[in-house]
Amino acid sequence: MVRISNFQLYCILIVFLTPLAFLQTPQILTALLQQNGWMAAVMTIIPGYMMIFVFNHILRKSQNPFPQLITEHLGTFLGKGIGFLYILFFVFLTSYTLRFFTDFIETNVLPGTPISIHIGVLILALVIGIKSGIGSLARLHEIIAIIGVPFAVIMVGIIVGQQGSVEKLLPLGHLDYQDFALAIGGTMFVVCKLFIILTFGFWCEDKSKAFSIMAKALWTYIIVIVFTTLAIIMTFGGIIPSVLIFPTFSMITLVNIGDFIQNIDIIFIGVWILGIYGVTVISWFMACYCTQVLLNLHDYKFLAAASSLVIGIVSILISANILELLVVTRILMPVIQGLFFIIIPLLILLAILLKSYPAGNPVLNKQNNQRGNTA
Amino acid sequence: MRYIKNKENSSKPEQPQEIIKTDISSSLDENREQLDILFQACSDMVIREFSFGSPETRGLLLYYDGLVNKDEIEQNILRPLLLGIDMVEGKEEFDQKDVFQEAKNKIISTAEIKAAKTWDDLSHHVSSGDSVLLIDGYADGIIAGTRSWQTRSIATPENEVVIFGPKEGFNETLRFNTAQIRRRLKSSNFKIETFVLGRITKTDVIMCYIQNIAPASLIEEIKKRINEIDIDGVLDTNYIKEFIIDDNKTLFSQVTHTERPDRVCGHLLEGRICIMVDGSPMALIVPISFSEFISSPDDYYTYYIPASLIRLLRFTAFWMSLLLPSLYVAVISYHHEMIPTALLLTIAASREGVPFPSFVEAFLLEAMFEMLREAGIRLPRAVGPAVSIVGALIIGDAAVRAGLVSTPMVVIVAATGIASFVSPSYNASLIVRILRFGFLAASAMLGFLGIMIVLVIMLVKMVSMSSFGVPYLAPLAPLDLSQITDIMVRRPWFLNRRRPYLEGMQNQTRQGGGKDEAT
Amino acid sequence: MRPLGRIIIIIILLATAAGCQVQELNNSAVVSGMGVELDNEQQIRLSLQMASPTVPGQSSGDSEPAFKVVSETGRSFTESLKKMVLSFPRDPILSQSNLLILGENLASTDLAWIADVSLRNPEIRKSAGVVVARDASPEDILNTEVLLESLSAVAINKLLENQETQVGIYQEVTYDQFLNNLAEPGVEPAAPQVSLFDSLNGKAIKLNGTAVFKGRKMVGELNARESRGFRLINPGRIQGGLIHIPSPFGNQGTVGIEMIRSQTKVEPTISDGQIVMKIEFAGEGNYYEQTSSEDILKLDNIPILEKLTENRIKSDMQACVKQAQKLNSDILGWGTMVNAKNPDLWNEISDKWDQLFPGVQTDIRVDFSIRRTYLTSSSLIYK
Repeated sequence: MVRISNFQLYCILIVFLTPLAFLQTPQILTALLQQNGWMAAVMTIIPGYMMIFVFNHILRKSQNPFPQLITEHLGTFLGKGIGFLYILFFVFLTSYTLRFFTDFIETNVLPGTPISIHIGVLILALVIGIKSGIGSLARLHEIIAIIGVPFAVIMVGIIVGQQGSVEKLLPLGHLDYQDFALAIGGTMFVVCKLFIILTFGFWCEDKSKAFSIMAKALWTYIIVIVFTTLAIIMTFGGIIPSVLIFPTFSMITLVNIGDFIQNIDIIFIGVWILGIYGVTVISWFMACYCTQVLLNLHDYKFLAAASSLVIGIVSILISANILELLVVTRILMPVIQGLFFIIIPLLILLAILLKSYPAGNPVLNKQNNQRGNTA
Repeated sequence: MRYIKNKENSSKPEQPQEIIKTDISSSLDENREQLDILFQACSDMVIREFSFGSPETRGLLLYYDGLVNKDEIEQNILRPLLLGIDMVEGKEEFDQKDVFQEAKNKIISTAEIKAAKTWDDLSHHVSSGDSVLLIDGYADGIIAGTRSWQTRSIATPENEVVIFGPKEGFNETLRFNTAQIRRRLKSSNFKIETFVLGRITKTDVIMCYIQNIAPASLIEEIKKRINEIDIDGVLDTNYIKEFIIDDNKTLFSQVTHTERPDRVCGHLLEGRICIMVDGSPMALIVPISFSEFISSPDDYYTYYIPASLIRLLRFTAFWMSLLLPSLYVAVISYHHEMIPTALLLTIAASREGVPFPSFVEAFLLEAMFEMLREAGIRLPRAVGPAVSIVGALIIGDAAVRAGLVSTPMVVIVAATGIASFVSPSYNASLIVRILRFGFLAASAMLGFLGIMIVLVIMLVKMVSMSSFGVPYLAPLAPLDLSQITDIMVRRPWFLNRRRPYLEGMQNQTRQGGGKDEAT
Repeated sequence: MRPLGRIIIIIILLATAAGCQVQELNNSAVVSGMGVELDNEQQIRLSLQMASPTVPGQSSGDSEPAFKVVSETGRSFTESLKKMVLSFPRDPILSQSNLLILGENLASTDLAWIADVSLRNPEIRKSAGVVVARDASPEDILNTEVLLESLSAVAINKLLENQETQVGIYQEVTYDQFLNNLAEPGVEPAAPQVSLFDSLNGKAIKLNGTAVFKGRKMVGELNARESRGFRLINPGRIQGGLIHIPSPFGNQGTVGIEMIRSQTKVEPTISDGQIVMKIEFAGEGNYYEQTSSEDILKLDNIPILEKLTENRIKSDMQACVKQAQKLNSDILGWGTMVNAKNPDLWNEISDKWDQLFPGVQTDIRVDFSIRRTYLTSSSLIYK
């Protein structure tokens, strides 16, 4: 029986959103807008809330967790088709996250080790995680969020204290509106990852609180990103970060604690592994769970081992070099995530709005609870 | 041998295995024959035949020498029967009366007295130190409680030393142990349920709990699990533990062992359940969470501020003893940039000429340390210091001088060793000692990254575990804000208003208001 | 997967990964400082100061220096670095190097020789200090033995650190700031210079001037006085420094004032289409000594001393501004300040900032207060 507490749901959302974005988004923002990057992150709250409304509405009007939810609203044929696309998408997302992380490690710490080894080791840990079931993953995410978010904030805070200068934040304003829109998009495609609440929302203690949980997750995410972007600008100014592949990381390397602990990048990476693990395990879990539901299987746990080879190979094949990977990161991923996390939910919302549902059907609610519990 | 002999005589009815299943006969002669077969070659068995009463009734008393208090047998059984029977008023009436009932209810004056119908029952009681009186003409045995044997006196538990607080420890006699707990929990809600386990040992196993507090479902579950055990012998609580834990493939201990009655009481008050076995001073406490491994009973007997700081220290020591060697290896093989130049140069200098890679060096020294530690436990007290001197001198000094190992590595291993002794729980430090080698290997392969991946796997394993329905990492995951404060620091008693939540717990209130608990 | 299988897979995976990046200390050498110079054939000459491991409690003796400098020439930084392995049996660990010495020739030719690789290479510390060699090659500087300190690279960092509070002349710059100034429009990099001089103990290291860059090239120097002005004019709080002023009694005596803390604010203002930099300095310090015999410490004299100090500070600043404008290098970052204050204006003028900068007017206001006089309330009264 799966029951996730509201706090656990919040942690899952946070961990699914933040770790990758912590590294990617400030770079995108400063590259587009220089000193003004953080404003785009703040502005993301508005479209972010809109997405939360969309997800919340879908959640309230549905009886079954995603992916049955698509079938419920769009019909069996379309539902199954889109469901299978989602499986492919989550497999791709998992592979991409893995690949991005291993490339990051290759770049910064262990350039000599083949990525297949990193990917292999990580996949092993991930398979163990998925096999332990979603209940324990939820608890794991609690720990990740409790350790990770304060750690990241403290690291960035130390940097601001040691290296930051407020002058570098100026000048403000003078935005190119197209770039600003792009930057909001760059932050937004992370926010729309809140999509996974369509599955997890059904398992949490109180479905009706989904809205506030999503809002809290959004605020946490925005605060972390704004703070990090500000810190980067205060440390490097507006120009250098756009050249750096991982400005957040380059910034962290400047931390110096009492002239003794320095170049703590590796500790940062260590904690960050936890976050990446959290992201990957959730997207992989989604892939496995969608497969289970669509193929009417009994369990999803065995699918982890079965799909590990696919994930591994896809993540190696995603790109030939880091620049290609950056193209994937900056162009392909936003588009794909936009399609699956924004466009399709909007379609579902449209379908819901067009049809009319009887408000609150207790019988159906009971059924869906039972179904959710089988996972 | 016995097996072959059994085969030869299989047709005969007088087999010990068959007798044991039958009832005691009413004929004393027949019983005597069967006794001879049953207790054949039991040289410590004493069978005393005698006759008493005015129409002489034959009686037979049997007990194991060494398990009984002979004075008591003389004073309370034999003397009343042999001498005092005449003094019983209404001697004439006695003749017509049921001798058995008379003897049981009026004559024998031991405190405990029972009747046994089967040989099996009889055998069990005799083996437990009771004396059995068989009377001719009655198919029952009178069982008189005459248990008394030499035991260790109540001593301070050596493995769980506290500075403040009670110093008593359990010993090997179950009854004394339960008495120690009962003395602290003067409530009829404190329940002790007994099971007899072990086909040969017939060991008493008890499960105790406080009825209003411990979750009923948990009590039922543990009862069920204990009743399912089928084994020839139970010599220690660990026998039981390995049968009843949830996950027997994991390294992490899911129970607490303790020798301290006060600690048992503390846990019982938090709604946990204690299992004890006759013949072992170790009590078993379930369910527990990982936090148990950094808290010591000492914490609760010391003022809360120093106790909290000491707990933080212990927490640090836990991580140090787990990770220090692997971090060192990772830093000096992969991440040189992390430490200051001067320190790196010093390390480099002492590593000049060391023939092993740092991982091998760390592994050898750690292994050597573990061996020394094991040797230290097993060695006779007279040799112990000699071994530690040899170990310290040879490994610490001569190896460095010979250039086999580097000085910083010796420092690291020593620091790790010290840190691992900080752990209040032997179980926890055992796990840490094993995991340390895993981390060491991972750090040699992938540096800090390897350490983190092993750590992630360890975390996944830990969050997915549960001990009788309590998540292993509770109250951290799932987060319980009201209880987390008592993990990292020791919460002062006046703030300890609620018990840690257990699934199905009936009464969480510790202080003020709440339901009536007093009985 | 059974646990056994899992363990076997872990072992295989890890075993294949083993040793991929291991840099055992026995096979590597700790680099304490790097020097880069461009030789006459337009090749990079890279010098690394390799620290010899120091055995604790065992003095290395006078005969052997605590380091070795290894140099190699190549077409690029990386080539020089990698070619070293042909002659030097150990793997240099760059990540410990806390100092980068740029050769004079390299600095005045093109910083692009080194900027790209050093930003990209994760081993090169961005928090390292940057200095420019003056009248000496980086190799020689690294090769110099320093009194009491075993490594000259470490010594230079300590010199920079100590002078900051003691005399307050040179402005330290870390590598990431240096690169940032190289990239950001409206500010030019500057770095302290190090030169060699003959002392009683042979060659010795001295901080000597500040190198001024324009674009990717070094265009000139600031002398000690201008360097002090440069340090004082930089916005923000600074602590420490020593200021000497002539005695107010006009008898060739000198009064030493120790600066305790100060704060500078720089703000661009526009008046009559002219950019005027308004520089406000507020500082406080202690009276330290005098070389003449008059009783200088009277209440009335304090404002005079303060005024003299203010003048001195002001003239130092002006000297710096003058030299920077003469070299037409905006090391003061005024361009970025204009940008921060008035981005519209900056968009207009950023292209012709080169022509505008030498003509920028300054409005320097200095406010200095003397707080304490240490142990005596008046000068020694001579008989």
